[in-house]
Amino acid sequence: MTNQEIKQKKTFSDVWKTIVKGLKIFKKEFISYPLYIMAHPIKGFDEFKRDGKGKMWVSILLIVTLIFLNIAEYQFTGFVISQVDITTLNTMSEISSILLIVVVLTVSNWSITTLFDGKGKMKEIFMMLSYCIFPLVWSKFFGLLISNVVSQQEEAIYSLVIGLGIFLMCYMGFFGFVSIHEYGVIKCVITLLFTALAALVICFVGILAFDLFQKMYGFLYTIYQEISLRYL
Amino acid sequence: MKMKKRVFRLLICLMGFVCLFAGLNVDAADGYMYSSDGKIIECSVGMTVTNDGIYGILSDAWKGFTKDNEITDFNSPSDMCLYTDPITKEQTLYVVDSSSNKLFVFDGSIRYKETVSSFPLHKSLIEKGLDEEGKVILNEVGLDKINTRIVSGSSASKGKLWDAAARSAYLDSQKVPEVECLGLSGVYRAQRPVKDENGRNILDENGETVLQDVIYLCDKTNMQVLLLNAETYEVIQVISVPVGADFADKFLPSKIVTDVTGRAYLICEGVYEGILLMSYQGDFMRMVGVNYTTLSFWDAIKRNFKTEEQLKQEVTILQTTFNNLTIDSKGFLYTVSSAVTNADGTTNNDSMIKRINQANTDVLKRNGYNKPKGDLITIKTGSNAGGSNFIAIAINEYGVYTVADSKHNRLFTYDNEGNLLYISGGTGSQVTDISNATAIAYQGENILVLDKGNKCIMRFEPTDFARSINKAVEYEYIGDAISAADQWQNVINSNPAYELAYVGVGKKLYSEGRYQEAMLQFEKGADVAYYSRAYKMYRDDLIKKYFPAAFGIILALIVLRIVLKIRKKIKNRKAYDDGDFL
Repeated sequence: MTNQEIKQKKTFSDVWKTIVKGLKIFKKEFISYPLYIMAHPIKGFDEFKRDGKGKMWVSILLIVTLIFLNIAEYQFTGFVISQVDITTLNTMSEISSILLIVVVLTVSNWSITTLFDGKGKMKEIFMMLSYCIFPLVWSKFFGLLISNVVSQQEEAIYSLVIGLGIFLMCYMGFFGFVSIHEYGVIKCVITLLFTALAALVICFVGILAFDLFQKMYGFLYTIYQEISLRYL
Repeated sequence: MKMKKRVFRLLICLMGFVCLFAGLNVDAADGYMYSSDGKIIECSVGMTVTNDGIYGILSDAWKGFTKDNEITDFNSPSDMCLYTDPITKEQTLYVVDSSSNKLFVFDGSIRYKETVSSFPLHKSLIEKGLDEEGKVILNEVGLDKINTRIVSGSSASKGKLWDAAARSAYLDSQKVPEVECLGLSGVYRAQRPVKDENGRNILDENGETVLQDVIYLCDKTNMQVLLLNAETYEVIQVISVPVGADFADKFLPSKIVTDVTGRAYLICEGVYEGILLMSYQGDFMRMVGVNYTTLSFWDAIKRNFKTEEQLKQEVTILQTTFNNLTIDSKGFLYTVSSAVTNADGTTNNDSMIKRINQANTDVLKRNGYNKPKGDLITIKTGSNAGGSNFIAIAINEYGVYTVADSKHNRLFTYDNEGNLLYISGGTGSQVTDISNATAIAYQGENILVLDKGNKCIMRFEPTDFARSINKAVEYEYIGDAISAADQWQNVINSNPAYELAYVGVGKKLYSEGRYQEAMLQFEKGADVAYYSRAYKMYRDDLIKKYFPAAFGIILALIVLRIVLKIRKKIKNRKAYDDGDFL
């Protein structure tokens, strides 16, 4: 056995070891820790904030998974549950709808809580919100499986699974806001109401800006057309 | 070279031949259908009318039959009734005209037979209504209430039939007074049992009910319904303005049908409370079927706070009146009306077609992809805006009904489950286009349409496509899913986008136990309920097939685990006993 061969063997086992290690980290961060937060929301989010246990890559991965699941629902949901025409699928709108909701909620919540002595940073709010997606991801995944094995009478099982996911998401979200900003319950509710208002304002301003840009684009385009027809 | 040329020539000949046949097979009319999600798809027209299926003044159909141009009085035809004799199966077609006030009689193949313009009173009616001196007995048969047309100059108006002149004429020369109608708007012919004074059916020597053949005429402007003897056209009974009802001044009967017991269902213009049910004797019994308008929650609250004065100024919210009605062999009343306008101005066109049972509830099945309401996609603005407006309805013997839409002059055919089968007709300027239908009737598979605009009767015949659908629906109606599936397969062959047909094929596969194939068909047919049923059976099959094996394996694993555990325990104990534990 030459030295080189030993080296090669070593690298192979190294790769295997790193894969196993990676999978272990993945399991811990992607499954175990969010589950822990779900079971102990206050304690979990406290560690999330204080000890920096929340990971950015996990939150982004959760959002990406949700987007993929939403798209997969078009193709793989059982015929009994959903009769949506696959040709109506618009991937861009699926992606943007989820991203937009998370981003707008983050920004609006941050802008309100900075006024209400919230302790949360924008990054923390964003990560917390994406960690809240965790139960929804799993409920959607199991819903997808279940939808293919239920008949019309058992449709309630599917609704239950999805409903449970949405409920847990809201539950996690609420306690997340409480812990991240170090609020009491009543103050949290009040800031959440204001967050909704702020989100509406952001949407309004966004649509206004969009409309304005469109008009401006139209104006510039007509000028270009005028010039091109006359001189070019 | 020569060979090549020959082959080439042969090919051209062949292509021409194919083209010829392809050209022949193409259906001239192109129609449309609605898919399961309410989108428009291309589809063959359901029924078409050929040039020799048009019976009007201008067509040659009635040449040689009329004397003195009687048929030119075919002016503003308002209603039609196709009567089939229950014994001889001989058909008679009656058409009434609201302008010339005449009753036109045709035979089953729409050949002209006769015109009746005035209807003499039956002797018994007069005898019953007069005392020995020839005076009218009040409250007996209502001779004094019977109205007739009075022509003065160019205009006609309503007048009393039994005036002094008529009385003296009758007493002098037994000249029977005749009723002339004004605004004839409805005709119906049916058999009813003859009843004695106590209201019991009269039986003949064999114990069978004696039947009486009656033609009902809605003499609208005269505010009465005439009951005629079907052979002699003599008036045997008159239904006049109901006594004491608050709609007495609006008793303008426009359409009539009767049930087997001789009770009459009347649609009256301006009566918003529903359809009038009249007893055998002609008395008002009750209202049947109402198109309720609904008041929204906020409107109800608003109305609570308004004063009497404010409420008076508001526009009255009226229930929508019925446009037409028909009755099937089981006694169900089929009615059509316009869309119901609610208090807040919204319209509800979900229940324009109703099937009313004896308990006065709407039992029409609406199990189709979409509710039976004609066009689903409609124009939003302009003179033709809004959904379909049904003006007439006809039902055939296996539950298929067709409604005529006055907005775009189309015929929509539905089956007894509420599935849209096909759409025919349409507005246009050709002679084969409907211009203003007022009545429709089924004659076997064909549909007769009485067209007020073109002043004609049109015979719509089903295309091959529609014929297959009709047959399939008929087979399904009698429960023969296998034969129905063959017909549905024909339908699929001519139009693969026709979704209902896949459901029909799927039903056959389902009944044969081929659940997986049936599931595929039901999915194509977008029928979730049947898909779910087929899937359940398929799943049961799978479980039956694999459950024993799967369960056996699981059981074996559990046993193995227990055995291993026990073995481990024994080993441990052995080690403990041997002193290895320490």
